[in-house]
Amino acid sequence: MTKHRFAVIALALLSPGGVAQAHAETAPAPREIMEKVTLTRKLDGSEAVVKMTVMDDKKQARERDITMATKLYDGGKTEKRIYRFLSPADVQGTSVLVFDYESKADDVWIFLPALRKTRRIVSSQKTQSFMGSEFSYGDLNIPAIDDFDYKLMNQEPFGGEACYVIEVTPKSKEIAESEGYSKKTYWVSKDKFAVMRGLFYDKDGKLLKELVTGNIKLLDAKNKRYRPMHMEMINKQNGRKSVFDSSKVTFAPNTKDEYFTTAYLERS
Amino acid sequence: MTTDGGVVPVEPPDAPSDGGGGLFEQSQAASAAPAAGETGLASKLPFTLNGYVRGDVFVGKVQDQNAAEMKANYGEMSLQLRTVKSAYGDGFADARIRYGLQGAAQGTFIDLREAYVNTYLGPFDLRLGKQIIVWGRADALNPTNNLTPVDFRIRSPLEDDIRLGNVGARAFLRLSPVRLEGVWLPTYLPTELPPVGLPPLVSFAPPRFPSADLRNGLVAGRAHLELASFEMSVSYLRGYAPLPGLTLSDLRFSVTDPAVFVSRTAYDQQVIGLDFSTALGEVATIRGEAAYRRPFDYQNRPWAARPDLQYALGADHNFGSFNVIAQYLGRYVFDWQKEPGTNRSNSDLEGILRDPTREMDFRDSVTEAVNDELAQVNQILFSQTAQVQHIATLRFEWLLAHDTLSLSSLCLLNFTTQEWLVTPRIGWRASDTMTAYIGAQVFAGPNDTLFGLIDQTLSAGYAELRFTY
Repeated sequence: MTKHRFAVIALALLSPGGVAQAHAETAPAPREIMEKVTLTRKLDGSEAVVKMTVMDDKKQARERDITMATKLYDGGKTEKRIYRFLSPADVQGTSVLVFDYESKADDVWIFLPALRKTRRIVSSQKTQSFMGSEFSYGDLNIPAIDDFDYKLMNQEPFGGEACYVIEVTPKSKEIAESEGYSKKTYWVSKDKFAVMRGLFYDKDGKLLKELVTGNIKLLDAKNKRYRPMHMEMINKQNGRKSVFDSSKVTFAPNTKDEYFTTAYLERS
Repeated sequence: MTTDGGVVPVEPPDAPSDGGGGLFEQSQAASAAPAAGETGLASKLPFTLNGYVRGDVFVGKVQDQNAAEMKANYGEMSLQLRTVKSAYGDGFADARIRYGLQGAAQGTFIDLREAYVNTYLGPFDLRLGKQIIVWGRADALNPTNNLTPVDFRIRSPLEDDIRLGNVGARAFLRLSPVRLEGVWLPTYLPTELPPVGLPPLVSFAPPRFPSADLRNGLVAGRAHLELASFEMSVSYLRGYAPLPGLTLSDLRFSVTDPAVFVSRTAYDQQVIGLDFSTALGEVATIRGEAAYRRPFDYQNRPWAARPDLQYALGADHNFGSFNVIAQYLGRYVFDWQKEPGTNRSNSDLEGILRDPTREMDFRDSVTEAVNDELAQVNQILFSQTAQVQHIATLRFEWLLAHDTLSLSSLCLLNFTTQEWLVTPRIGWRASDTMTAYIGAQVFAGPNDTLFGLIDQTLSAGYAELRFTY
């Protein structure tokens, strides 16, 4: 190797892109990292009590207490979830049942106590706010891996964890419209494959929201499944913030199948 | 990491639970019990109390005048008691106490709206007590919903508030994906109509409702098929229709105080129904419902509706935070004929009734005239003034300001009879406990239609403040 060629290689390695390139050679492919993130989110079954706090730009807070259960079916390809609002009184008893499929549109039902019946609704509104919070329905769903392109941007620590920094972009304009984001950037824990931080960009490419998670709990030690007990979503454009705090979570692979039926929804 | 820069320590792994956990059900039971650590009387009570306090005012038009009047104004308290959930069931009661003006009546109204116990025994659920039952997957108008009645005299921004509970049993047997439902309502409770002005000389006599004989109870069954992508049900009902017709009870020939007495009279029927809903990908939800109603011996009971077939098909879609439900409804009346009413004028009939000496000769002809008029009124009451009717409804809701502001309305148009209804409403959730509503309920239609009969009585603008606890 000539001195000249050695110098070129040394300079390449020392440049930021070069360092990243060197590290990237040892990191898994970014798509593979996000596939592991998706897998980590999937618990065979779980039950939880969650407090959702919605804060406006004046720091006035509204709280919702929600109980929920989840279970995997079809070899992990389908996740069924039920949410029931416990408080405040004007939403108590409102329940939502979701069948989240990997490869087709979700089936969703809602039971409203004032209607006294269960109503099927379409699942298309991923951009729509969940109960007035800064989390959209899309933020809470497991995304379709094939809809996005992935790029490893960097590796840096966040939240006390060494992380991969992955940029996620929709593959088409239609997917971007459906998601409501032109781009997302995730800090993914190398050890746990849990999302520690997320940045979400609007259709004009401006930073819209920041997600920060904490208190990552190992719920299924055998399969190394983690779940954050604390999630904050801050809207950088309007100053509003929403927080999900899971006060109690159990790994419950044998959670009852009857919870995930429209019959149970109506049992208020 | 929290946004203030602190690092949240990661907890050591938990030992996983093998069983069903029970947290999901326990948390629902816990929400109906005093909070952990709470001391004093609240911690000893096996139930929780929720409800609301509200103040409402409804203002409309004076009948046949160009002036405004109060249609309703009241203060109301609702007490909703939920017992703690036990392994075998729980209980619920909803009592309402209202003081104010309701139609022509001013006073205190106490209503134990619902009071029932649920019991859960494996695949079998039973609810016993006073309860409101609503059937049908269509929006706004449900042809299969013929169980518990409504009270149109109750004025409220919320549609559910006019529903009335009735005492009975409702049971489910879950054989997934099929669910069987049975209902038994042993005693009759009628739908109440608003105080529509009666013609001169006409008064209400005591109603003719079925006795508490077990044979007079309503029985109904429904079989649900609930799949992931599609659900439907078929139903059968046999019992007295919630909305009674009118019959002539008596005539009084008197110089000073002539009168025609009419009675609200119930009739029994059979109803076969069907409904379904499914999703069209991510585009829309489709819902349909149909019912064939056949009153018993309707040919000899002019106070009964004619057999009819009602059907509805609709779709709903979200445009962001704007939700729209559009629906078509149709009605076909079997054995239909137009009821023309009587060709004798009110003054003619009054003249005869004011002359007791003419009773023997004219009683039959007056009776026939009144019955002809009642046949026409009954046809209006049962919304059967045309053999075939085409109706469209459009309901929308637009959520703004992070779901704290709601703009909504239900619009209905009957293309055949030219009746229409619109109910615009603005709702503002000032906080989790305080909500304000302003809106209107406007009915309109030709004089020989139901909406034409009630439009001046029921059409009103309103305002409500509600505190929920």
